[in-house]
Amino acid sequence: MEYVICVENLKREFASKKGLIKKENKVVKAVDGISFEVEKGEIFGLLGQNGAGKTTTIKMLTTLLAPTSGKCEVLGYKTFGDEKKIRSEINFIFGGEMGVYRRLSARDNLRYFSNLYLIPKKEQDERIDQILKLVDLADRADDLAETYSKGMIQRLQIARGLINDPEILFMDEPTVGLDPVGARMLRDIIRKLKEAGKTVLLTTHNLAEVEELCDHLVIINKGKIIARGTPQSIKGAHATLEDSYVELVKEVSA
Amino acid sequence: MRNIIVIIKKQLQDTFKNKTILIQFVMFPLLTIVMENAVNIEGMEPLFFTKLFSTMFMGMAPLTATAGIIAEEKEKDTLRVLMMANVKPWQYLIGIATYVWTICMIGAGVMSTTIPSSLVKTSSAQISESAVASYLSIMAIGFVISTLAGAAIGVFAKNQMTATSLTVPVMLILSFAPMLSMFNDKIEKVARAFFTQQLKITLDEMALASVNATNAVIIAANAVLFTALFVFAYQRKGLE
Repeated sequence: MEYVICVENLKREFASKKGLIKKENKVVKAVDGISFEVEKGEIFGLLGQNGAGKTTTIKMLTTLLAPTSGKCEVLGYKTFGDEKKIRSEINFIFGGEMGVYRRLSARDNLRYFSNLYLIPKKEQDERIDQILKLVDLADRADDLAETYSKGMIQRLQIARGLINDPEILFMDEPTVGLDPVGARMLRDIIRKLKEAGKTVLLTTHNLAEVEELCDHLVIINKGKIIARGTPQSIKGAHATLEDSYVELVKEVSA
Repeated sequence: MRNIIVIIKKQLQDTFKNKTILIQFVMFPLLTIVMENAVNIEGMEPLFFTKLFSTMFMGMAPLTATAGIIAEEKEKDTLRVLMMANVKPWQYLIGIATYVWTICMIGAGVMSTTIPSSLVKTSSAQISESAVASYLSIMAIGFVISTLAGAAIGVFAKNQMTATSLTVPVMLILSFAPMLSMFNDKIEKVARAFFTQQLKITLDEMALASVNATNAVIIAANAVLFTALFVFAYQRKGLE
């Protein structure tokens, strides 16, 4: 089995100072010793409530945040120390209407990132056209992104995330705020990416989506993993994954 | 170097679509040309509007543009995407600063067209033939310091709203103090501490050689202060 992400006893603490005169140091454990692996070519879910530590974990995996301790490897490279090697092989897609330049067209956005990823000029046009077709934006490619709907911006984000042909795509709540049609379209794109051999690490609050898409998942609560496995194994005897998830979180919080 | 050029090119492309930034770059050069050509009051000091608007331009445009651009990128998470694309923070900051400084220098170039090529007698000094070169040098210094101040605010602010609330008072002080100093001695005494006022004094002479030790020390102190603020903001907040 080939693992593209290996996390072992990963921790991240944030120190903050409280008080105006007598300052008190407060340490918050955002991620508290989590371990998991992600296989090449699978869709992996990272679930948890708001503030559970999902985004902090993704930030560490995408080299944007240094871990406090523990092992955090992506494609065999350490996320802190080998950032440059990892960054050219991964990409990150946010939820909402972030991560793209709204005063540029879809094509200009992609051309900008192609240049930053050092994609040769003669390859750029072909790759951009291919990606725009994949995310169904080819006919609006030259319109400014500010004229796009939420779903179109989200698809442009995916296009931006694919521009460097990444091995792993990190998606942080990619369907948040989308209408059912837009969300379905995005899920189809994610499935196509899996078919193309890409690995996708997904965080979402939509558990039906997880059930539909993910091969494996972990559930995080207060920085610790409280469940792991396939959606089916976690669902167990419950009617839906959501029932199982709610019960798990309640049990841990009790 | 390649990343810096790519960032500058993208910013140039963005300029004409970003009206809030564009207006900063265009307003003062345009006002200068219009006022210098339209208003001609007897006894008014030559190049009155050029000097006045130049000081305001250097205190306003680079500051607001730099802070606005950085804060917007932070707010929209595009900065994080740039870091993921292996753009180093220093490459991004140099790219933005170079872009802002260059556009402002183009504006200053436009404003300098009001300076006559022949010798002109002013109330305080004679404008020499090298006045345009001196004028552009003075503006270049002002733009650098103002860009540094904008970068400090942009890096410190979490979003555009915070950036605006920090930029407005700084901008008002830096750009309006020299103008108000012309009418009020008390304000003039306070305004002496700001680089814009010192550069305004130099602009009055239209000669870089007229910079004395006091001018130079205050301008350098401003540069050091804004550099220190930028370093402090960067250490506290980074580009996240």
